[in-house]
Amino acid sequence: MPWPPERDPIDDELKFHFEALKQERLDADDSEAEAVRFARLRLGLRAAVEEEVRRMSWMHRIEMMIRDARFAVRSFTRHGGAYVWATVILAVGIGLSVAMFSLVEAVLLNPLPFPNQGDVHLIWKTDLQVNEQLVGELAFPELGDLKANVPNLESVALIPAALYGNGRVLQIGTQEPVQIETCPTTAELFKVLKIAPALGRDFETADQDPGAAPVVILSDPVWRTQFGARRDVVGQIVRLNGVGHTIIGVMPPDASFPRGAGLWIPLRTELRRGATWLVAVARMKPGSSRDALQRAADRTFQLQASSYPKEYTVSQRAVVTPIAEFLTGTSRGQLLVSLVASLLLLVSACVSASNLFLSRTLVRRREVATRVSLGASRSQILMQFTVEALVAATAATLAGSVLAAALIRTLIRWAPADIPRIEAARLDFGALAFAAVVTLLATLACVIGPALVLQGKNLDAMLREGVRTAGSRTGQRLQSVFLFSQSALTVAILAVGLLLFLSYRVMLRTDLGFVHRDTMTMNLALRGPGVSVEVRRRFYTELLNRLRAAPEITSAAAVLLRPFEGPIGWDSEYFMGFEAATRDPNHLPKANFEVVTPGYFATVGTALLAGRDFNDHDLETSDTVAIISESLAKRIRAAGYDPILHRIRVFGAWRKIVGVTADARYRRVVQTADNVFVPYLQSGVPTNYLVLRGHVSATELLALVRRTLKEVDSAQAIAGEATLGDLIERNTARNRFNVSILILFAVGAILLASAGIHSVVRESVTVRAKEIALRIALGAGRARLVVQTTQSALAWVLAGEFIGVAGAFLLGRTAADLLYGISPSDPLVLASVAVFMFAIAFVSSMIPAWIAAGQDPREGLQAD
Amino acid sequence: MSADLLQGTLNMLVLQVLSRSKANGYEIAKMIEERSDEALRVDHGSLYPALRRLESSGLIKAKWDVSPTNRKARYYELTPAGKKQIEVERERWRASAHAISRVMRTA
Repeated sequence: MPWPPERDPIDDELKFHFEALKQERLDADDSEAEAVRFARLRLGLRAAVEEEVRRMSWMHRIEMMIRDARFAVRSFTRHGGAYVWATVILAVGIGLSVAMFSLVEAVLLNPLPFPNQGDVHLIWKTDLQVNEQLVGELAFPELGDLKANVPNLESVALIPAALYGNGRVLQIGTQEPVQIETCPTTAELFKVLKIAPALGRDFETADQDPGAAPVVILSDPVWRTQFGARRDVVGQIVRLNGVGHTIIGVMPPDASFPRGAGLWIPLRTELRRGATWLVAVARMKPGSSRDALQRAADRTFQLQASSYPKEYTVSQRAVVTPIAEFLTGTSRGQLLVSLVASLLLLVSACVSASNLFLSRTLVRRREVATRVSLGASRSQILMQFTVEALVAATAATLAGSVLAAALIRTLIRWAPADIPRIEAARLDFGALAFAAVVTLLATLACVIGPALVLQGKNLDAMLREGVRTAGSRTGQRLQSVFLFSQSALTVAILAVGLLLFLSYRVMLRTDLGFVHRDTMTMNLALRGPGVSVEVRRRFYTELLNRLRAAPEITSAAAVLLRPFEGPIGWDSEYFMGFEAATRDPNHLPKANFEVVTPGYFATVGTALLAGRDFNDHDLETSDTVAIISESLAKRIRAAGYDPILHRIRVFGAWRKIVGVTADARYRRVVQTADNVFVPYLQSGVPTNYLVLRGHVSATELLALVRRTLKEVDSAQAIAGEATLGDLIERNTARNRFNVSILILFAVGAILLASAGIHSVVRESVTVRAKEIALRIALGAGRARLVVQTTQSALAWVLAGEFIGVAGAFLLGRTAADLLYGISPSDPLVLASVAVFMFAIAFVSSMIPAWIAAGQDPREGLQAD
Repeated sequence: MSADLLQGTLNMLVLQVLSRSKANGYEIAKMIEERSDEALRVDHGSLYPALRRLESSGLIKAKWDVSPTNRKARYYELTPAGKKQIEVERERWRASAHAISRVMRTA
């Protein structure tokens, strides 16, 4: 059928016909009037005929479509099983890929709430030192350097590289104080982002002056939770860390930058170039490229190296990151990997469904041949297949979308908290458009097989082939390709899934060095004017004494930075007494530095292997001491010394080692660390976290802490309450998420593959029913028949597995940083996946073959 | 006779006429009338819906050509599918004509 339909030439045709009839009478010597009357009579009313023809052609078209649809429904009921299977398979594939697409769309594709986000970049530094790639932050004066040297800069602001340590205790009137993440920033931050305050005013440069009146801008969530969304908050004065701040504005809901900031305060002008803790956020003028910014920033930092050779090295380079990439960070790669895996699965589902359709076509060859001999054109038959495939694909898309909606909800709940904006994922227009495209592809995939079989085929041969027993060669070759590619895909997904699962299990079983996972931990960094080293020490001594005195509490202690708080931490250079003379002071190793109170190790459950814990006699005035972890002690022993009473130089002072603890991990579950602990009374570095255990519930423990805290200092607030178990869980959440997704994919892949193999073998024994019956009649053994009917399918599966294993090996190598404690080429993993896949293929193909080989040969011979 | 059979018969007659040579609508109508010795009178107007139906079923195709009277006319001819179809129709017709005549004889 041509599209768009051409104009029907009926009127020209009728005109000719009319003239011919008229001429006929004129030739017989009738008068003009008589001839016209005759022609009119014979031809009928021309307008009516035209009308009927036009209606006819439309009605006919619709009729044909209805006939094809009816045919599809009829063959659906006749060959229903296979089509239902195909639809289910497609639905699973579509459901998984639409769900993944929605997540990726929410996190990576949706534009940020910042206009022209493509022009906004973050700038910091990297410095390739002798053997280490160091990340460098900026100091306040570098804002001026960037403004002076980067052309096409529309606006630029500084924010802290991490919000950690910038929490503020917010006190509104007489309300209970709360700790809130706060972002100190220079005046232009919201101009860079191009978001205006919803209430009040933006920062001004004058707010940065060291002498300016303190002001604060509220985030939407803080405005709602702490201020009851009152519109008259602007101008109100609240206390931050005990200092009065005037609220000058409230930001709209989507202005969450940096992520997690609840308050913004002006960053005070600071002239020291050594105070590097900031990164720049810059908006370029429209049309200038990231590369241009990269070059300009590099040039700026080169100039710094020549102007201030003491502060900067010539090897420092600029790191320019688009804001979208900065916000999605590492989740980017992982989500994309999952998306690719789900697309592979979708391809696999399409292949499976296509395979089923092809099988059906082979079974229905005779029906097709008969229809062709009855005058159906090839395109008509293809049309019929297309309608059938479209019906199946549409049903699958509907079912798949329902599945996807459920999956999205589950995945959001499973997702680790550090994947930004994932909670916004839902089955929206984009996802549905994606599903529609997928449906189209699935339909195409299901038509390709039948089309290839039909194409260029001698229909007589087809008819004969149907009568005889041999399968279509084109069809069989195609099915072999399907089996091959599907088994390769399945093995690859299975292997990567198993690797991630094993690596997650190793992770969970790793001895982290903390026995007491029920230990409650919380941030209690002292804030406010007048907080000095002495005040802090007195505060913690007093608080801990009161807590330990409570009968509900078994132990309580404080630490500088609790375990698994994130990749942040105090890394400090150290060297031992025995190597004091030989160490190059410019290349010292680093260890995790912690300040702790006595009782810390007992509370978190880190074993003391030798020596003693800190005690109340480790005062500022007594010998300076340290406790080291076993990994460091081993180094001392290897040099032939006893670690106890050996000396270590850390944080600029020599200390006597009084104890050795078991190795414990502080940054990440998968990262070992050397630890150096010093007592809180012998260091100016603060303790910021409280850790405690008791024999009451976590809620009661926290209530007790709040009560006690109020008695000691009512202006302080705790934040980030979590047990050690929670912290460890959060640290591995990403891995758990990846594993869950891949297991989901692996299960889907196995289902699809076994369905695919099963259908191929089943169709092949159906097509060859007569031949098989003949062989049974001639006395062939059942086992031998089974082997004969399945061997070629299994051979293709096996061949696919080799490619799949190779693919898994390469995939595993590129994703090696996601793996822990297991090699991507682990032969046991690859072998067990290959064996498992083969077992699945074996069983799936054996069942129909075994049934066929056990049939009564009379039935098979009589059939047809 | 039911409309269906009439229609089916007209289709068959058209195919039969075209199996000899291509023809335009006027010629088809004339040929059916002439061959049946004017016994079958075709309503010329009703020919065209039938032609359209055959055309969109892929049994015949049409293109513009010049008539013996030197005018532009639309000529119809059989497609390969149409050629097969006329064989089937002839066979079917022979069978049913045979059956009908046997029934009539015994009456």
